[in-house]
Amino acid sequence: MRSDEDLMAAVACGDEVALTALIDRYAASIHAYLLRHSGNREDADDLLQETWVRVARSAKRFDTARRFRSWIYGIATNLARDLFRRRTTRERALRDLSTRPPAASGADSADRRELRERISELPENLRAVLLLRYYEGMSEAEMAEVLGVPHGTVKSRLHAALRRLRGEYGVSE
Amino acid sequence: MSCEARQEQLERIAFEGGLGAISDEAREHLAVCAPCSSQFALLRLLIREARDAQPATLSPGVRASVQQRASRALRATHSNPIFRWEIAAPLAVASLALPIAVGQGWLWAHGLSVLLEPWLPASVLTGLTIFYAASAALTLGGLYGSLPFAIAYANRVRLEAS
Repeated sequence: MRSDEDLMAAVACGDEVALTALIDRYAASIHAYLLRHSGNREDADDLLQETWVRVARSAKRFDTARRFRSWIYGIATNLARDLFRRRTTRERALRDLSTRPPAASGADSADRRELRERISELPENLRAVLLLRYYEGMSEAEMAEVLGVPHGTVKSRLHAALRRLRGEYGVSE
Repeated sequence: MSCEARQEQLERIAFEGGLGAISDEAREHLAVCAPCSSQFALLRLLIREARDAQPATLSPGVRASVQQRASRALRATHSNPIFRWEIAAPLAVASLALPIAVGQGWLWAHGLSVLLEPWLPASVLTGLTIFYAASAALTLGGLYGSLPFAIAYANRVRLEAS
C-alpha cells in the first residue's frame, strides 16, 4: 500500500486518484474529530470540505518529509479554531444541543455524558489537545506537530485540560 | 515522587493503555491522595469514553461533496489561466487610468506652476510636483501590481465553480 506521503506527492502532480485514496483513508476520522471539536454536524461538514479544498490547493507546497496525518489534522484544527473565533458567545449558546458530539455506544452513564459536556466546554486550545490525545491517539510529539507549538506547550496544555476537567467535574469511581 | 509527577506518569500510562498494571506503590498512594485518585478516575473514564466512541462514518452525501470540491480545487491549481474577455475588458479599462493620470498630472503641475510662479518660490513648486508624481506612482503601482493577483484569484474561483 502506498504511504500517505507518496500519495500526496502524486496529488501535487494533479493525480485525482491519489486524492480520492487519501479522502478514503482520512475523511471519516477527520469528520469525527471536527464533530467532537465543533459540537455541530453542519459545522463539521463544512469544515471537512474546506479542509480537503485546502489540501488540494496546498498539495504542491506539501513537504513530503512531514507526516501527512499531522499536516491534515493541523489544517482541520486551524479551520475549527478560526470558526470558533468568529462565533460569538451568543451564537454558541443558541446552538442546538441535540447536535452535540456523538454519544458513545452501549451503556451511556451520566458520568460519561457529563464528561462529554465538560470537554465541549473547555477552551478551544485545551479541547484540541484532549481530543487529539485520547480520541485520535496521538503522541505528544505528533500533537506538537499538528498544533505547531513546542512540545512543552503541549504537555502544559494537556496537564491544564486534565486539571480543569478534574476540577470542574467531580469524577467518581 | 511528587503528586504532579505522579499525575504525569499516570497520564502516560493511561495513553499507553496500561492503567490496569500500575505498581503497588502507586496504588497505595492513590488510596490516600485525593487529587491523584481523582486524576486516575478521570483518565479511566476518558479512556473508556474514547474507546467506546462510535466508529467514524461519513454520510455518502458529505463524502461526495468533499470529493467534488477537492477535485475541482485540484484541477484549478493545475489549469493554465485562460484568456477571457470578462477579465481582459476590465483590465483594458483599468490600464486607461495610466495615461489619464499622467496627462492630468502634467496639466495640474503645469497650470499651477504658471499661476503660482509669481507668489511661490521655484523650490516649493518643484516639491509639489515631486509629491504629486510620487503619490501618483505609488497609487498606480499598487493598482497594477495587484492586478495579477486579482486575475489569478478570479481564475481559480471560476475554475472551482465550473
